[in-house]
Amino acid sequence: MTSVTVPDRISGATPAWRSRLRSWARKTGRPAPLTAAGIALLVGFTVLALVVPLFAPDPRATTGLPLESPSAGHFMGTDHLGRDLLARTAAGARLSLAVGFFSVLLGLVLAVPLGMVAAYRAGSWLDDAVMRVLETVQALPVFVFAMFVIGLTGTGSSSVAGITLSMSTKVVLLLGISFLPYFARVARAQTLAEVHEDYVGALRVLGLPRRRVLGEVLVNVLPPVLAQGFLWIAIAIFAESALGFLALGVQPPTPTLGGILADSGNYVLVDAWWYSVLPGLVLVLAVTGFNLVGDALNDRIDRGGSQ
Amino acid sequence: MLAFLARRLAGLALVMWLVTTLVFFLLRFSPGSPLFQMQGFSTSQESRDKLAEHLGLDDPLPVQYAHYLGRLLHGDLGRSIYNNRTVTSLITGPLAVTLELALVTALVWVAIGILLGALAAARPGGFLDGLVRVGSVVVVSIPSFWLGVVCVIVFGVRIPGVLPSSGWVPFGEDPVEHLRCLVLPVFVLGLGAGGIVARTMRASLADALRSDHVAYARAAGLPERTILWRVAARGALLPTTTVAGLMMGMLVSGTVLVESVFRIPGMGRLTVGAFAGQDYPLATGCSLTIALVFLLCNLVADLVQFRLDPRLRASLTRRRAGTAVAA
Amino acid sequence: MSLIVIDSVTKDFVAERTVSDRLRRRAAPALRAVDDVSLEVPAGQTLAVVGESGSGKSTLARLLVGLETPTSGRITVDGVAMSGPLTPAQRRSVQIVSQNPWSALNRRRTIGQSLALPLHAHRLVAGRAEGRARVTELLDTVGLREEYADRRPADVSGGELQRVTIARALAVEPRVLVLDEPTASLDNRVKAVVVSLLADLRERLGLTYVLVTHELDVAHYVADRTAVMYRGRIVESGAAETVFPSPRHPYTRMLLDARPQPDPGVPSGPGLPDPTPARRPAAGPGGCAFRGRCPHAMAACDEAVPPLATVAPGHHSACLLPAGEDAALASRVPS
Repeated sequence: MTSVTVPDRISGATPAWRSRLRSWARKTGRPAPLTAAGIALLVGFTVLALVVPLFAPDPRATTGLPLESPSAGHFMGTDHLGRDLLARTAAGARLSLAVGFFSVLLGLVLAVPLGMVAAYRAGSWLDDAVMRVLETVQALPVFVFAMFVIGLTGTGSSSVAGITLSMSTKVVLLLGISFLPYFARVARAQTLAEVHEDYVGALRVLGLPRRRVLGEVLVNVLPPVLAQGFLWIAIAIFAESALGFLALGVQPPTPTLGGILADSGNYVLVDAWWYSVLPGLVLVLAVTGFNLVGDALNDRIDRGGSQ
Repeated sequence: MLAFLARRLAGLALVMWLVTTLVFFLLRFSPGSPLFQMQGFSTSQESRDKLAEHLGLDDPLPVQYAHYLGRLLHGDLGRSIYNNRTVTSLITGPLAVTLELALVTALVWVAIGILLGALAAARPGGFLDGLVRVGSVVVVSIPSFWLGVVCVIVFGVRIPGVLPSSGWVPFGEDPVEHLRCLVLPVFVLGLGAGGIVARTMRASLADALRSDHVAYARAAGLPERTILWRVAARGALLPTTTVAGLMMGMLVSGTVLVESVFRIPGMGRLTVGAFAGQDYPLATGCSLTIALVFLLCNLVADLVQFRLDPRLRASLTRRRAGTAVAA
Repeated sequence: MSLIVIDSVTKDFVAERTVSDRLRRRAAPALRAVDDVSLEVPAGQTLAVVGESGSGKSTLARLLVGLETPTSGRITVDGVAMSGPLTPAQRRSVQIVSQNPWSALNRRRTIGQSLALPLHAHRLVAGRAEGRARVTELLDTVGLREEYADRRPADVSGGELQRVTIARALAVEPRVLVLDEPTASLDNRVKAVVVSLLADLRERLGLTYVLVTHELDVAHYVADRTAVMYRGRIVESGAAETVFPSPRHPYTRMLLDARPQPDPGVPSGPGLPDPTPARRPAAGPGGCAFRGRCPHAMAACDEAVPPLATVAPGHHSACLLPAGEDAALASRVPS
């Protein structure tokens, strides 16, 4: 049985809207248990990142004694400066989520046109040049590449051509650029498969301008690229926290998940287990969520393509 | 094989050149680089002079660039700002430590991954199958640096004395202690990669077990054990080696983090320290070395795959034959 | 003056020059898909181009709609060269219907969206309501109900989908339709429906067709004139009612013999002997391309490419075989 009941709260919607939603729900079916778990993890993480900061105390203020264990006052305990760990974790989660989302978005915005143009002119010098440059960026692991550049340009804000880039913007830029080759390859491969379809020729014969034709191709290129991008949010969150852990990411006093874990490393010997275990679990569960849902999206699109 | 190797080496040289150029220009033009800080107060006069000398700041840019490349080609990476030792001499010891760590990790986890993946595929729907399916996703999602911290809590605080959770004892000093030192870092560094290997092995072996030649082997009456390990595993190993090759990137990234957690005197810790202390000659030297090691690992993985995959070899031969016909 | 004029058109596909080609200052190997083809189609008529796969007939179709540019020669429709820059109105005048309707429509768009796209791009309708009305009208033209507008290609059968691609081509009110194997992917019953729809549309809308096909029965049913292509060259052309009953070129005869017989009682002809040589390089430069497979090949066939000669008024054949012997052979063909 794959029937899904539509919740009552949307009963105010127009009937057409409802029936479309219902047919979509029927077609989509109930997600596999693993995917459902992934969705639950993502919802939890998003609530932590977006809702909890509205109620939690100031993550930079001392609101308790140093290294208090979890209690009703501080659900996740306090850190070595007596700051509320839940508030700090939530603020770090919000930063991670933003960096993950925006770096993938940036990578996609740059990579999809590049990959599509390269594929549209497959075999030309342009295609060749684009692919060679991308191979170079790809030759280094994302995290190592980011570490080089941040290490060399420093961890403060930088100004390029009069525009001041905050450290978090720099991290987003760097990660986005290092994702570019991976996304561009997917976009290129998809476009290559697509431009051989007869509708592309038919639309040209119909006299549609090139950008409209590419727009029609984009409709088919985008879904697999977006699914891939979703998986890469997990990698972005990992890379951001790893940079923070090495003190090469967004700098204190701004709380980051990586920074919290790095600080906690200094207090393991006094047995403040909550300090490192709880924020770390948040990170693990969030990345797991993105991986599970991303895998499911990719599987669905793979199956859709083979039909 | 030789033509393949030559092509790959040329590609490697090209990428290395681009990386060195990137590092050169980042050092000179990026805001926040030492040259901009020289007008400030952050660095001492002495280190600024050293840096100016190292970079040859008085020369025009193309000359600086040519000198820089020329010295790199001679293996001269400059001298550390702090203790005036050559970067090369500072790197060799930590490089050996990191290579040992990465190599041992790769061997241990590829073996574990292949074994778990194969056992999971042998009994679809069984306990191990579920464990590999769910576990591989979770394990990949665990950041190594956090797992490291948790290990330090467990082995350093809760049950001290079982395994050393910090530091490094050279093999020459105490071989047994050396191996005990390796256990936790190898576990933490390779866990995620092992998950990926197990998952790939499980998937490709499951495919192989459904293939026609396995059905044929069954019909011929071969025992299941022989079919699994002799017939099916052979086909499944190829995608697994490909993934194991891609793992090297994860391991290189991972060593940087894991060494920081366990305080192992390897390349990762040296690099992070150099960046933190703004020891730019050392930092660039480390960066270039890591890049080179990573690229060499990829090359080796490609060569292994080339040896194993008859289709790859055939496609190259065919291409050569194609040109011959055209000529 | 004919509406469509194909004037000595040649199309070479050139492989990319490899490094070794460049070092030896040598041009990359080329494949001649269309070789010195000249044809004319008067307005309102149907020309059928028949031949096996690989004969270059699909390339000719792509040249006709401007998807490929001729290496030499010229194709004009109503005096306008198809390879040059075209105004939107000129662009609209020639449309294509291709073999595979699943590939010819964007699978993520509804049929209504696919039909509305050219209407809005050329501003043939004002506003969404008018667009919607015109889409319904177009669907009706090809005999499909209004509901089809909301379906996606995956939910519609092949024959219906091919009707949608015809409707889309008609959306921009063309004068010429190039039909590239329009029925090859359809089963026989659906094929008949589509063929009669095409014949009907030509009468109602005053269209001119170029039908590219390997199905001789379809060509016979629809065509006024027919041209037979073999390895990029026209080997025989003439009025459909003379070429089909009395073919002159041995290749045309082979094609006709190889037709599947609807009546199992009638023994089918000897068929195409050994189709593989079509893929082989020609027996040597110069000479008739067909001589390797021809049962009547003579020494003279090796010397030069036989020119397209007039064998009867309006009937041309590129064969050196004497007319008398020709006629004797022709009598063998069941008609």
